[in-house]
Amino acid sequence: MHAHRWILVFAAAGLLAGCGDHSLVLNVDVLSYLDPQQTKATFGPVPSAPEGLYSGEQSIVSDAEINLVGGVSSVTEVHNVSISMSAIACDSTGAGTDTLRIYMSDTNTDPTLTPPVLEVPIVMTPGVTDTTTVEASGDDRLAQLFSGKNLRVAITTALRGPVGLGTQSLNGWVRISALDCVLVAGRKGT
Amino acid sequence: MKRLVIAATAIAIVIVIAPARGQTLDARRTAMGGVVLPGGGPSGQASNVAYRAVPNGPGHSSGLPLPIGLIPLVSNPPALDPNDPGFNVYELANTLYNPPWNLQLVTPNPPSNDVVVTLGRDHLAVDLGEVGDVFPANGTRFGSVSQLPALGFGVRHFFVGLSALAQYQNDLRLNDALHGALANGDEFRTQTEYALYDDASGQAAAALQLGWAGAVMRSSQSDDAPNALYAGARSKVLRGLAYADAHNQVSFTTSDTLFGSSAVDLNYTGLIHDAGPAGGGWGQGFDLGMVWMTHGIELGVGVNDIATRINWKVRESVARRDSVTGEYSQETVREDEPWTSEIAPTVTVNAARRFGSILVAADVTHHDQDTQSHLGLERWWGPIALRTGAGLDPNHLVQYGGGLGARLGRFGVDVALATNSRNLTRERGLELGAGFSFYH
Repeated sequence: MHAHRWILVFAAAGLLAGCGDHSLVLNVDVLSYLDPQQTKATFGPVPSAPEGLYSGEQSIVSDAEINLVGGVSSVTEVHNVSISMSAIACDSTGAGTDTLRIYMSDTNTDPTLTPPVLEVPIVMTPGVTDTTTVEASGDDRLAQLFSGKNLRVAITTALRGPVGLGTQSLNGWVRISALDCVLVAGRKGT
Repeated sequence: MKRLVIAATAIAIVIVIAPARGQTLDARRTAMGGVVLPGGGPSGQASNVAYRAVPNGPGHSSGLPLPIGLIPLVSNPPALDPNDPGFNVYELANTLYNPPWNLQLVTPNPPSNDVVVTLGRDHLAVDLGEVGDVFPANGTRFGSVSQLPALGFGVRHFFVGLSALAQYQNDLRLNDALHGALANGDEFRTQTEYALYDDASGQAAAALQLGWAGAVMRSSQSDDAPNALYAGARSKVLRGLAYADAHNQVSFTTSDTLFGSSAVDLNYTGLIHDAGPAGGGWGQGFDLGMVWMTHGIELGVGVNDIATRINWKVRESVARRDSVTGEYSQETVREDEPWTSEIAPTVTVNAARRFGSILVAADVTHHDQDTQSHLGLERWWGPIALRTGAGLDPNHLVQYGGGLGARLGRFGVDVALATNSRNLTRERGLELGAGFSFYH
């Protein structure tokens, strides 16, 4: 029995002591588990092309493991799970778009082989630094992942450069500034 | 059958726990704030052996408490299956804290907040909200010494009787780091030890009582205002029936990263001593008491369990968690180890006086580190008595009581309302007690 579970015992005890319709709210700062050097992607110069050069999906975080407090589902029933991500995009020159995708899986599965749990579309405008935040409700699969003890995370970027010939090349960077998951669980049967 | 078991269990809990937690079964006493009743009252002889010699005063009664609190419990037993939607650990724990002899009219609301756990690679915080009040800074300590009424007889001032004695105590403490994390929502820190300590003990023994109680001075023949000094001594020859103690420590130390790749081991060690009837030896204890009645004032001092010790042959074992396999094991270290247990003395000081038709009574009781005090008033208007009182409970909270009594000949009915904080979060509740009185 690891301390992680021991800590959960207290959380679960608190939940059960609270009883009624009250909930256990688990806030997970996923970003804190990731290497800060892996959460920033710098690109450029990306030359213009008639339909814009497309990089395809490129890995930013190839495969990171996150240790959680296991056993949530054994004492509670997950009612809701949501995930949110914020990314700062800094565009020095040129216009373009990017799509960040978050993949999550259990420890036995390659996360990139599962559907993304979140997609963050980013539009880059020359000379503009902007923050994009996307929040989405998770499904049962995500709820199960955050109820477990470990999960794997992968993040990819898919960049499309300036569209049209003769326009300025794209230079800039994208940095993930927040990646949070909120799981709300209650007593079984409520 | 299930309901009968629950009812029987509840009764057993009431008998064992009630004296320690301050719940008074006698409705008259409850209405008077839980004060020791003058003239001995229902608990007088148990807390002060000298009351055995004190003659019953005018209006003395014997009470028969009614377990009206069991009615809702039996009609709606609590869910004991954790998977049952009605399962409620909070209410179950409070039922143990607050045995349902009296009817609970106002029960504290369960903590209303959500429990919020915030975690990241290097931080973890658990906000239990109001539930954090369950973990007081100086730990949780409770215990009780219960002595059943003796079955026996007396010849003049001497008496002999058979009784039973039961005692239990539990002392739960968290170290500062763990207390801060659970009670205050402090963040768990890296490279920090979090520890919980629990020391529990319990014992039961049969008791042969031999004693004497009588007037050592009497200067007035008036029954209404006797002027006398009564004293009593009770020797107890004890035969151990069961004993157990356990000293447990559970701890873990966080590493450089709270949720890094390296797991944090939970350490558990426990030192346990236990004995059954075969391991029970002989022991002894003494009770002393004095009651002084002068000019309408009644003053009593009783000290129970002076030098009370019981000898045992215990099994000593060590419980631990294997850090490699994670399995828990218990290994016997010694058999038939000589062991002597002790029971801390209980001191009860009480006083009472009538001012016209108003009876005023007060007491202070001290056992181990637990001190309680009570003050009660009673006034009769014909067949109706009005009672009120207050007391300082073991948590140093003031509790209040009030009630009515009605007498018809030798028969009476008593009802009482009293506050209490016998629950996990020490919030105030209100209970209703009822009982019959038989006047001598």
